[in-house]
Amino acid sequence: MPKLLFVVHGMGDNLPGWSTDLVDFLDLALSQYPPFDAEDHPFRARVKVEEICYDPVFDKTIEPWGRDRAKLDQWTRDNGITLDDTLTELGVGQLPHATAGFIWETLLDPVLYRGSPIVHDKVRAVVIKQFIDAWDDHLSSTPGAEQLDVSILCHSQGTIVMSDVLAIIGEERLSEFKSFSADKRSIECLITLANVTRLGPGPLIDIDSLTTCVRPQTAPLWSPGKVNYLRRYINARHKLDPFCLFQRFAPAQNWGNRYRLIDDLDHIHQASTHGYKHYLAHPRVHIPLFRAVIDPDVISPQQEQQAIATFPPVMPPDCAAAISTLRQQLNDLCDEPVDENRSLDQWITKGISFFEAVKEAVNACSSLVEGLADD
Amino acid sequence: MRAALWLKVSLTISVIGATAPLRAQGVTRDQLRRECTDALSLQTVDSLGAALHRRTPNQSWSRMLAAWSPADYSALGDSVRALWDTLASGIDSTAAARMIRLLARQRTELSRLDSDHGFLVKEGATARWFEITTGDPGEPWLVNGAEPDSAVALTEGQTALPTVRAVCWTALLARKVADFGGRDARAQTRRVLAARARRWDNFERYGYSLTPLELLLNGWCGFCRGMLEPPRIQLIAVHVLPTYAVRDELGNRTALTTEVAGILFYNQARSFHVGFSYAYSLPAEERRESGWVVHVSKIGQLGITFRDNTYTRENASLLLSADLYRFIENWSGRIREERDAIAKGIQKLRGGQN
Repeated sequence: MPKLLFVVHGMGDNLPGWSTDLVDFLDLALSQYPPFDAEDHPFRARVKVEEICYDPVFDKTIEPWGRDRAKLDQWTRDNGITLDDTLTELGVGQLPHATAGFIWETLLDPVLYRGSPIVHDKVRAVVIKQFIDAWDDHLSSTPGAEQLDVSILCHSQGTIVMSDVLAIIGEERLSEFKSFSADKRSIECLITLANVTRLGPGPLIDIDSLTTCVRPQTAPLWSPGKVNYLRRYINARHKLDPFCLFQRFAPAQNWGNRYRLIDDLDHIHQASTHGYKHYLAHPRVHIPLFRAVIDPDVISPQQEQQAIATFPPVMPPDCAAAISTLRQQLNDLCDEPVDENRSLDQWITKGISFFEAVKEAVNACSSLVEGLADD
Repeated sequence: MRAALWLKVSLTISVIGATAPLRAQGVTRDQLRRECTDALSLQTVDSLGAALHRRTPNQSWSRMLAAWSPADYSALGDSVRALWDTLASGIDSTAAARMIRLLARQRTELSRLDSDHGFLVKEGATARWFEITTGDPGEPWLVNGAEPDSAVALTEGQTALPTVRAVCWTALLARKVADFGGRDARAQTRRVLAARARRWDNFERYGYSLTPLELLLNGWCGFCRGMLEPPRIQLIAVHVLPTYAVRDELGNRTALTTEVAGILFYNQARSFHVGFSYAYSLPAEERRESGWVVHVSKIGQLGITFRDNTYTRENASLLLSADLYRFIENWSGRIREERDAIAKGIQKLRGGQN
């Protein structure tokens, strides 16, 4: 059967073409296992990958503020206008001086997504178009009686975006989605890395990810008389990833054997434990992914056991001391209590602390990979 | 009709050699894979589809579908059923009963595609009923796994090969027919999405910018826009814009204008908007003036403000936004150039006459 995998990025700077690194990494991960070790691109050869990219929506929202502020400052200086008037101060003051850096380019994305319905609708509209156009192109070009199996791999903020988008399409919240809805078709597998779909104060969450059709067919029906959208759901969460441990995605009911929670990850191979490559490096994550996306028998149970047994908990070994300090800092961050009504504020403060801890660890041991670019 | 199809399918299956004796015991995992997903089964189903509809076994199923007349969905349903009838003799009765119910549902839907244009272009056929879910080792493979009460389970070591073959081959063909029967509706979805993307592009290109405060305010304005849509009505709040104040007697000045509150109305395509706002302007080295600003799409903003709340011509300032000021400058420049060119032409003419 032709396999189609959509990949959806998280927060941070992600330009079109961002997925090349990810697919290279999946090729590398699969080539660890015989008989794929003889191939250069074993993953690409078996799975068609379609990239989803929505980061330009955030850039187009934020960057004009910085530009406008710079122009206004210049214009007021050139024309001798002082900004001591309260109203003018308020008007100009809301525009930021600079819109670059970790906070503006990374941490603020989820805040804008939750805080502004215009931003989240624009993001959703962009993602829905990319998703449906590519899905339909592949459906139309799949030859003969072959069945096209569609899976989705998303990370961090991408889990919120994709979960929302699948709920809108699957539940046909607008009538035009009928032909792609859960009533008409299903998705083979949704794989979430660092699932943050429940992040944010309750009143700002317009789609509750635990109550939608985005659940496997073995879970209770999302609504009487309706059908669930997924055939399988894999949810991976690292024990030292502070972003996905509060307001965590945890179904109250039993979602059956087609919902797989992977929550026993505690390796540290790079300073940023939130990065997608850091998740995918672990055989507990990539083996279920390969089985779901390629074939259930693609890697044998013996190969799996061996890969897990030989997977080092810490890399590189000469950074053990720095990693131990980092582990303690991340543990403290993860254990901090969270006020759900202020979860977006705390997202930012935790993010800054996380950023500082990562930088400190890399400074303490230069051979430790930073990994913030994968956030 | 049904008998003729049955005969045709039987003959076709015999020709392609798929009626070899099948063992009655449970299938192996490899057999499940071969019958439900592998090239052999797909090619067989393709050949069957082609043979049924064009009597040209070498033509692929997809090419056959592409050439198919749109008003023949019911006939496609009959063909799927004929394939099932041919393969299903003596198979497991639970699987058979469930497959027959699914095929009947599909047949009803396909008839509706022929008779109801709205259904054809807005909903299309249901592929889900015949999607095959590969089972993990030790788990059954499922057809229509989303509905446990009507799912058809194929279990390693239990389900016999004839049942697997009948269910999978028919499901593959039925799902392909459903994909084909959803083509118009999917195309319609894409048209709607493309139109929405154009509206967002227009809003970004031709709309009035949104400050952080306005982004928040407009986002939560329930009547300003529809789901997933850019605003049709845009609220203005504390929006600063550089302007040029043209006066009769007080002398022209640059002025920083703050629109306190206002509203804009967009056309359907979001390519044009008009609106107004209440504003304060702060001319360089002078006191604040209050008044109104009118917006006309990307041309710019034109306002009138008064000093000391005294509404007289002497105290009035005509505000031109930087955009509008540039527009007028360019426009007056072009007029001047054209006027000069005409004057030069007339002068030349006169010189020629003299």
